[in-house]
Amino acid sequence: MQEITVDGAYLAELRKGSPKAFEELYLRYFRMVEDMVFKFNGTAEDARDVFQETLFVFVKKLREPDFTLTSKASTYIYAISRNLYLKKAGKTTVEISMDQQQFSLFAQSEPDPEGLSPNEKDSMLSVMNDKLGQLEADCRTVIMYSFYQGLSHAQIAALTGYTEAFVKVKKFRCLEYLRKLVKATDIFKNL
Amino acid sequence: MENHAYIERIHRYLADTMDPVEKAAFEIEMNANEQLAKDIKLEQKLLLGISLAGDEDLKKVIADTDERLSAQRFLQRECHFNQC
Repeated sequence: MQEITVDGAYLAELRKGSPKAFEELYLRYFRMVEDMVFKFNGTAEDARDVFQETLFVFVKKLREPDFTLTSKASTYIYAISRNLYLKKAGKTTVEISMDQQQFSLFAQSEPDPEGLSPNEKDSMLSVMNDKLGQLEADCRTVIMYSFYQGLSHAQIAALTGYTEAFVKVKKFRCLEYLRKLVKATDIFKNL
Repeated sequence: MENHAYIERIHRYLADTMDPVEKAAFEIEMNANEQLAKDIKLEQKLLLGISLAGDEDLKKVIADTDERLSAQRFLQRECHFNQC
């Protein structure tokens, strides 16, 4: 298997959500995960589900500004998928075949939203998708780079072609606009 | 809430990146200032909402990739790297 090179250019594509960058992960690592799932008597559907969940955890962590891979991507992907699958399949013994400290970082990457019931989560998601959808595309992009992916002004500037000063002004201007939009909704009114 | 420094301070508090002294002072201020406490709650919810929407976007990109490759029969066992 040819390993993916996680360099600045590839990370930039992942941060942008480039379909090609995600396809690369499928082309290189899907079969490995599928083999693992089959080994544990899982189905092709299980393999697809687990691979999607694995990529979510892997990419989210990889996109963090200060995160550096210390092993091959395949090592992480295999360990994450194996743990996810064994957990899903109700196996009691979960083996972690990667550096414990690194894995604990991945394990923390999808916290439960604090104090939200599934219904509240759905309502909030619906409000946010609606209000984010009302923003100009460049506003939404800057907000997501800054407040979701946690990128610095310099990193956002490199991805968007704006100056750092412009990014700083824009991100607060866009956030202010988004705040005004959500404040008018029931879910944000009751604070 | 137009002041960038004010918002940045709230975000640093929520991200737990203040040093202990600054954090303690901020919490005293928060307890004495109802508007600040309210603004913190709003920002917390706003950032949580952005995070939920971001997660949803990422899941969608991955699901779309899965669907696209499935349509190209890549995900079928007998088709690996387009060799069927």
